Amino acid sequence: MQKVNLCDACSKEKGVEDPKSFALADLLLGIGASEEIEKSALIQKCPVCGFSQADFKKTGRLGCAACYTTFAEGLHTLLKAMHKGTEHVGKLPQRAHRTIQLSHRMRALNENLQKAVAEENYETAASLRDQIKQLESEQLSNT
Amino acid sequence: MMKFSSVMTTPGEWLRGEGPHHQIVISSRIRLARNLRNHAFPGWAKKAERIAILDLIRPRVEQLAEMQDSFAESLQDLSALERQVLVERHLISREHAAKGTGSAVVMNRRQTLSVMINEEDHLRMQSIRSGLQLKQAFKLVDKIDSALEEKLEFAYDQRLGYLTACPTNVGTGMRASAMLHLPGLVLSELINQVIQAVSKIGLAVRGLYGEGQPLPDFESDHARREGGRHHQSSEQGD
Repeated sequence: MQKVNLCDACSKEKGVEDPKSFALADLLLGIGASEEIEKSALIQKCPVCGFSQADFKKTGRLGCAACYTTFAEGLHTLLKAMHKGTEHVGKLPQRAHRTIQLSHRMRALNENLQKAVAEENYETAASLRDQIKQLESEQLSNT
Repeated sequence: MMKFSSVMTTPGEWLRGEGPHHQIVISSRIRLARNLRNHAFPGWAKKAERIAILDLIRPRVEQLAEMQDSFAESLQDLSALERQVLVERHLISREHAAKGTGSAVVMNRRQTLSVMINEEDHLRMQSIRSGLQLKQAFKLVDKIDSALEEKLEFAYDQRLGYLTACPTNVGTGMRASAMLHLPGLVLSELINQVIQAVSKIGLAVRGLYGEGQPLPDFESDHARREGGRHHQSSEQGD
């Protein structure tokens, strides 16, 4: 006996037809549900570039960077199957890295400021406010 | 600026058959895929946008210190024969050779570095070296990636990494490959066993001219898709 794993298209090509098989969605939501879901998913379009899931089915390529956000849900499963992990741990662009670092620092400063104000620690609050101003100008020069 | 005639008369560095383990490893290659954040990927962008992307990227690539005295040309201005030469030398892909307006190639004089603009991704940068020199190839391509990143805003997601047209390339956008000449394994009919074994450790075997091409009898090529990690590739890419 030989076990082979085939995709939908390949199995049809090899003559495997199983009209009795039905989708999991049908089982859970009633017959026809999977088709409904598929239809609505196919209509969904990327607000940035107008790319749809139907286009992805056709080409196997996405339309733009924002498509990764638009179709995040469906892509997650796909990416999980394709890659060893779904968390990037490699190189990151320095410019993006700086922006991320600055936004992290900004968030921390703002949190501390709120805390200082709540505690009526106005001296610390003033110093934090100055630091935030300084950081804001750094953020501007970074963009 | 280099002319195509001098590209023709000087074969690339990788064709010299030198470098470590050159009896087995014909060449080593590292490629990185990058895209601009605010533009549609080449396959989806309209012609005018592709031209705008090219105009944005090409001068910045040509200005790189590594690209001094480079050869740069739009695909539409290359003859069928010239494209064929570039494909044979692995300086452009077959897909890129089929492109026209809005796509270009820039390469250095030694032909160790080539950048395809508007292939499947906005940028496909690759370094190809003679023998087993994956680390050297990586160093060069990593350097120009960092230099370009200072001038261009790349599509990048904190969680997923670099974003690419095809989800298989997401992450580092890197592929490391070594082209191996393995006649002994073919003659002893062990090649298929080896191919099966290496696929289990995350290596893919491709034909001499890449994906979708039949494996020739005497040449095979290892490639590994990099999911998450930027490996300073060792011999097997992992």
